[in-house]
Amino acid sequence: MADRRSHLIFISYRGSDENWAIELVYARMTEAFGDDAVFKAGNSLRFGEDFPPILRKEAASCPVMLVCIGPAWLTATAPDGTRRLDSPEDWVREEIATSLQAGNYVVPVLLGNHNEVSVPKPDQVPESIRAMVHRQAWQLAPGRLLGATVPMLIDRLAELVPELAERRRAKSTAQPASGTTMTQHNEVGGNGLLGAAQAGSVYVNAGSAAQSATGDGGPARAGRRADMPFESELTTLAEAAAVALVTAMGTNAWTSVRDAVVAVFRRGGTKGHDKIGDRLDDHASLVFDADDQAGERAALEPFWQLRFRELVNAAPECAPYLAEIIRVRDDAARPAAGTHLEQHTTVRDSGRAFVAQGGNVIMHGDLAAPPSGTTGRASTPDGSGTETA
Amino acid sequence: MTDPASDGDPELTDAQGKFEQRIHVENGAAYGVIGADLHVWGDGTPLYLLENWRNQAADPTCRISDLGSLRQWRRDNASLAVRWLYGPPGTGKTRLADTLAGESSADNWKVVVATPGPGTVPEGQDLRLGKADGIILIVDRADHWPASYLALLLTNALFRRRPDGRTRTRILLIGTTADDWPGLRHKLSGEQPATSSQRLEP
Repeated sequence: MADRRSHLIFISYRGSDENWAIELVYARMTEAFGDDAVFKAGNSLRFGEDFPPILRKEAASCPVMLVCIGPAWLTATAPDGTRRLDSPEDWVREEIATSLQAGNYVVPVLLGNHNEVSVPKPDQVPESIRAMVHRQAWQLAPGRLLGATVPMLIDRLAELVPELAERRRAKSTAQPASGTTMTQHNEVGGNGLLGAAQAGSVYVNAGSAAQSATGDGGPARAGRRADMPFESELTTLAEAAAVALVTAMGTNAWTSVRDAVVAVFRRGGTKGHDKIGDRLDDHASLVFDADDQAGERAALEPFWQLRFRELVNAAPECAPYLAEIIRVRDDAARPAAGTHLEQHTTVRDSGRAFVAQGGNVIMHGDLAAPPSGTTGRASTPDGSGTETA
Repeated sequence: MTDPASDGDPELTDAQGKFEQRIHVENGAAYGVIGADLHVWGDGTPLYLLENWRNQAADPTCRISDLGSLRQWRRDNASLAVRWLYGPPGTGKTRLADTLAGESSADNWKVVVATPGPGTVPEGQDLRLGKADGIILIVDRADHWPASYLALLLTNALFRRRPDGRTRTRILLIGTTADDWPGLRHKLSGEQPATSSQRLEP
């Protein structure tokens, strides 16, 4: 690791803030640009390392700093009750000031809905980081729009820094070879919640809790939740099937996944089902030809989610076959024989982790308003992680 | 979820390569699986937990005729079969299921137990089929599960069929009454499983 390439994105965050979203940002950035492009203290520092000089060096040298600002960012207090941001020893404050001084792009990334979090007012932050409040911010609100806002952020960053665009191209064309070791490191603390999958995906189904609250009012018989209405299962399935479909485009899983999708529409017999095969081929070739395959897939996903939802609304008996699409994709996307998958997870400070290898982690519930004060988050999909020979 | 300060460290090799899952809990909780999906609420409660069946004291003398019916059900050719086993408390449903589980495990079947969350399981669970002839999932107190959880359970990667299509899947749902069975059977109809119910007389 001594000669590793320099990091390009510094993720600045408070450990006590919106952990789910910070992990999501980290996971998506490493997925798009590679692990070695992204610096996040919790993931990038090694045990025993003297962190102050590393933090200062990385904050100054990374051309981009994403300042993750959740609802607790501004008001977080130290054990003695004073506001952390007012302390000269606050590392968040110091790293932002360092990046601003170095002339880097400092992007406030607002984690939450508009009514929960906004760019701080100039008089709410110390002088040394005041310039940050005038920098163009980016909002990541929980819910389905994340499927669009995160890829857009990635696109903007690639436009901003040419080297990030290069890393993204290199990442999207790299294929793990047989005999490769894929390692995924996960860490959770600060009462946070982590979901991570290797050779599988993490899905967030943000709508289900909101729907169960207003759902069919059936008796809650398992745990403390009301029975999840069937409607939201179909939505979950439609989302998951759309993700499975677009992630198969442009890969060797495509033929089998395409056949499974054609079969499910034929079974439903809905209007236009005979044209699905042509549409699939069109979309697959769009992805195949795209410079930015991940962006193309993200753009196509809502289209297929809607088609799948329409299908199961018209023909609910087709729902289980959506799950079949996911299975087909999972089968085809299994790691090559001889691949060594390693998944390391560390849990500290009352954190909770849900991890899967060769399976998916599906997170349900309204991430914006968790009942217990903790928040859900998702990270690190499809086998991403450090690659070592 | 693992207990605090424990390490889950399954390491296995199969045709798909070597899987290694290491979970280190200093303070908190973790739940890890290999070869299956996890469904989790946003507040960190698992919808359900899956764990490998652990050897219980089998009782082959228990309810011979009922056991015979379950053996036959397992041997059947259907690739996916779901059975609702029900009877009043104390009729030996759990013991019967355990006996079937023990026999199946000895016959090279994978046996997995599902319980509704929240709850704890000992450590990271390797749920891959490997070279097993089939998989049996035992869902005790199934009448306490929302039907939608059971429907979601069936989409789990745990039941991913092997490419050769030979893997047989058996799901044994255990309840005190059969009240929930017709509705669930209707929901499952799209999967086209062989469905059946079996009543244990007091």
